[in-house]
Amino acid sequence: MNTMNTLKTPTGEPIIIQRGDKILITGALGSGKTSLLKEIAATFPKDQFDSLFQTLDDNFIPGTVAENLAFTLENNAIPFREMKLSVLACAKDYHLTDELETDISELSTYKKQVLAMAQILIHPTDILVLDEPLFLPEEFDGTLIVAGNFEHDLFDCVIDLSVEIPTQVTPELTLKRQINPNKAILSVTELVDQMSFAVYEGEKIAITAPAELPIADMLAGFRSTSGEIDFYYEDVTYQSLDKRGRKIGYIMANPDDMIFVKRVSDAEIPDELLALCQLTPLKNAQLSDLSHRQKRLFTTACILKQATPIVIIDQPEFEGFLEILSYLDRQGVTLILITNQDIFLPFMDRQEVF
Amino acid sequence: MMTSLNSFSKFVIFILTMVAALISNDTRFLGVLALIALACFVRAQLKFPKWLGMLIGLHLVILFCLNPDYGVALYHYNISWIADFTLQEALYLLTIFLKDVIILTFLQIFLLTSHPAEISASLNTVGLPYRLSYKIGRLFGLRKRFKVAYTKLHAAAAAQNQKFSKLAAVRFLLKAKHEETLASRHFGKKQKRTWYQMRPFNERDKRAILLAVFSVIISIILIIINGGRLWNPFR
Repeated sequence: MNTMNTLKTPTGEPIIIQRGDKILITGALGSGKTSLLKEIAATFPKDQFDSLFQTLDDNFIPGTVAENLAFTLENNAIPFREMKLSVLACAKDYHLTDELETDISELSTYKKQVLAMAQILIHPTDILVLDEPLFLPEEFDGTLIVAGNFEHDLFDCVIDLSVEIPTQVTPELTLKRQINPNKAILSVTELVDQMSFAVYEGEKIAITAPAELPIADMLAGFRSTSGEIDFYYEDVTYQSLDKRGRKIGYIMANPDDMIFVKRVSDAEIPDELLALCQLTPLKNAQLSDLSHRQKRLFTTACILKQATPIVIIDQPEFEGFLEILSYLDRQGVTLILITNQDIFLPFMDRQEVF
Repeated sequence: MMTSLNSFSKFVIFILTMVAALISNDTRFLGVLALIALACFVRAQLKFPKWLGMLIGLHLVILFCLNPDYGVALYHYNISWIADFTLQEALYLLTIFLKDVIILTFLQIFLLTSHPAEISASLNTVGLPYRLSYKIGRLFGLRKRFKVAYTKLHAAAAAQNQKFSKLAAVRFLLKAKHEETLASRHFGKKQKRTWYQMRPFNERDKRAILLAVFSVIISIILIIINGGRLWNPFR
């Protein structure tokens, strides 16, 4: 393919992509990874590549998981019988068999992330353009262009878009860590089988559980649980979302699931929080123009605005996390992270693994 | 009974019964066909929407207002029934009413018991280009998609103690980036497309379609028996 084009890296070198190349694009928040990825994709002939969008829901068509898996096959005019078998086999590979008839809108965010990849890998072309994939495809021989945070060793070429080498400004993390070990702010009994725990007032806790369990949704009341959730001594298991929302602020893994305004300014976020979440320059921007991470910071600001005693972050991103952490620490807010990344652990008081 | 059929069969049945209903003006035959249609409709546990009923009513009122004596001219007979309203006009309007019922009932069975993707697949099978078929099918999922998206964001807004009205939802959800999604999954790449939701054609489908073909044949035979499209009991 030997694509010669006018694309250049920040250092001015032309970007040359050859068949079979594995290329990683990294860079800081808002450094233009997605734009570069789109520019590269635009140099490929139409329909000769597959792309994964960063905005999760842009990857799907309305309908069931099976229909989404079959969609690429349908468009490639794969015969009916072969298509059925292929969908079943792919669902098995990615542990989606039980969800085949589930409507896409009922799927948990993690399963959606898996499905978005499975959808491509069920019938891949020679070129994959992936914006923040959940995982990298195994045993793929074609050209791979990825934006995101992955190990540099796995790639032939790494394009770093950060303008300067990030001067590791780790903010002075002198956390107060005011914990009241006698008062459980949240007591959870059998959220799912064998999952009970208590969180004490002011604690910062990381919960690591199998990714396919939507436990953050359950804690925040967006999915039902057979167990019991107590806020201090009050049973809030069946409490309505608006009442529960005053106690538990929930930052979802998929920001598009909780954005219902058009512009950043519509949310009426105080300047202090805008600055904390690096949104000050984006104050008048439309949310549809924001990157995935910027949208996550926006939803974080919306939740912090509520000043709830507990904040839950599902699949937190490290970008901007420390600033937010020290803010929550100052306010004495109890923080619960649902994550399986070790990078957060040094800053937490405790980890619960299930 | 009709719900378990292949969506394409339902579509063919709709077309065939419509043809049968349009050919014949034999009120007896139309009555029987309308009863069959309604029986299928009830079995499928569907409800006839009020506005469709009103539409049929409006159709009849307009026909009557345009020419209240059309029935008399048609049947060459004049029996006044209620004041100036003739028995012939009543029969004529009944015939039209039955036609409306037959067509709309089978259409509803097709549309309401089919999955949007099946509707697309059926339209494509009868020769409509697949891009157009897909778009038409999508229209039938519009309401459900709106409801799902609204419910999701309404809950998220409630948890943030914010308001999210239906009107705001309509404006907010109209901006769908669907075309890009389709293209990225190779929609439009090939001249042909297969359909995952196409249920295979079985014996029941064949029998059901044969019955529908039979209704067309009967309506043609009736033309010969009645010596014309009209059945005239007054002659």
